[in-house]
Amino acid sequence: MSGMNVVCADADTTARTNTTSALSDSGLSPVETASVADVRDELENDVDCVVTESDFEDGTGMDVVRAVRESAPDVPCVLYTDESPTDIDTTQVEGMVVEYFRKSSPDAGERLGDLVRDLVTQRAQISYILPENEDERLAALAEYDIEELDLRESFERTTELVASHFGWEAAFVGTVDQTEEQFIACHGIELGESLNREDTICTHAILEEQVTVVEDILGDHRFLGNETLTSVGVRAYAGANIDTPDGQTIGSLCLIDYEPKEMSDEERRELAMFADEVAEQLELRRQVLNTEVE
Amino acid sequence: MSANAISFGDDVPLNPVDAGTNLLVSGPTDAGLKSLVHRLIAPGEGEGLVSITTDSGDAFLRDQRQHGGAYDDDATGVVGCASSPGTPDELVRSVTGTADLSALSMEFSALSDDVGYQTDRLRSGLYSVSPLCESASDMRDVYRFLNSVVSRNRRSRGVFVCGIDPEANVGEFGSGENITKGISMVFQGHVELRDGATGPEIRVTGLDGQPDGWQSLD
Repeated sequence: MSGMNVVCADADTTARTNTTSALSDSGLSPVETASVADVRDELENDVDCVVTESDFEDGTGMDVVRAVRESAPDVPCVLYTDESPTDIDTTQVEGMVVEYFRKSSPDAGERLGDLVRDLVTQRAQISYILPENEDERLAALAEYDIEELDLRESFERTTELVASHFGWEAAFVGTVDQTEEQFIACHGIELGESLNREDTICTHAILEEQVTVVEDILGDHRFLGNETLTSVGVRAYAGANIDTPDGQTIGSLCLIDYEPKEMSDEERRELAMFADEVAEQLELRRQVLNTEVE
Repeated sequence: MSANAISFGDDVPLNPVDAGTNLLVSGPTDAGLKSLVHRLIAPGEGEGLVSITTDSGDAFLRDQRQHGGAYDDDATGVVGCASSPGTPDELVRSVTGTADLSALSMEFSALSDDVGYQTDRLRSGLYSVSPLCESASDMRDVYRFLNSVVSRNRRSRGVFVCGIDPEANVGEFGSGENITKGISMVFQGHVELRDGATGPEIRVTGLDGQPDGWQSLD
């Protein structure tokens, strides 16, 4: 991952230039910003890491971290400053995990580039667990051009049938990419095109081989504080993996309800069968599309 | 096992682990969970140690020195979640409480960098993650915090040991058992501790080259 895009926020022009020079020398692609507002603007683009000072005219380094967590929560942040951690006010931002790196530490400029590279490649500040075979899984997902496969209409029928079959309020088909879940089709719930991976239950479901059932998200610690889920009233979830022929899990077929709900073993088996049908549709369309291209 | 394998004291029935290994240690507090974490992070010659404790930092350091190890004052630090200045010779940092993961992450990374820069190898510990779960308003923050510490340890090629008591209070949400199961997925290795018929026992899963089954912990 050479050429990583690193937003470098520092109100001091000389210091900012020194930092960006050090990052450039490490083979990274820094973008200079001088305010919290500028960082917010840059986050509209593809950003791999944010390196920030602690003090700006329009806010603090912790405000920068908060902006990152709001719009690109998986992006690692480095607080690169000589202000002591003890002197940084965190009373309003208690959950903002950040890497602190002292600007005056030995070989700081040189080591900053290595630190950024490691934080990005190790996905060091994500708030969920990655599958062990994440790289292979993402490579398998990249084989499916979802838009080109033109499966939305077909999957909308599938989700309607699945919700009706099980008597749940809603159903959807989603794929889980590096940072987001993309929704191909939804019935009975409006989820938009995508959600951040840290906000979705499928992020947890793809870690399991079996059908994942969350009978009541309000009783499950993994979703404590997840306002995305509670704001749409989701209470119960059941998700079956969509696996490629090579066994890579690229997404889920899911049921949603607005009341706590249980699922029997037989229902779990049936949901897994529906998910296999979805997987087969995806694979057949992919093969047809590849044949047409050839 | 690499040439840089990390060993533990004779009082722990664990074989050496690869540099960069992250270990979760789970079990009842009454069975000696804290003592086991202390033993696993006791530094060898030339190694540094930076710990996080949800209690008083200086008291944790004093306890730590009762569990073997070779300590260099300049390379032994702790971040506590209760105010404790320590002596002038001790690297003791404090944050205002277990809910402030922002301050905890900053103090820990600053201290780890200071100590890690001057030592061949860094051991790190967290005792325990249970109070962090109890006071969290969003469990994703706890997972992000753990991922950042685990990632730091992989980078520094040390060993990180995190304790959790599945029976501890973890707030109104979920059960300690479920939280332990979820958090264990952040770690490569899992050391389970239990009160056996003749005393405390441990069992290791997730790591190659470790003893099979339950082993007596004397």
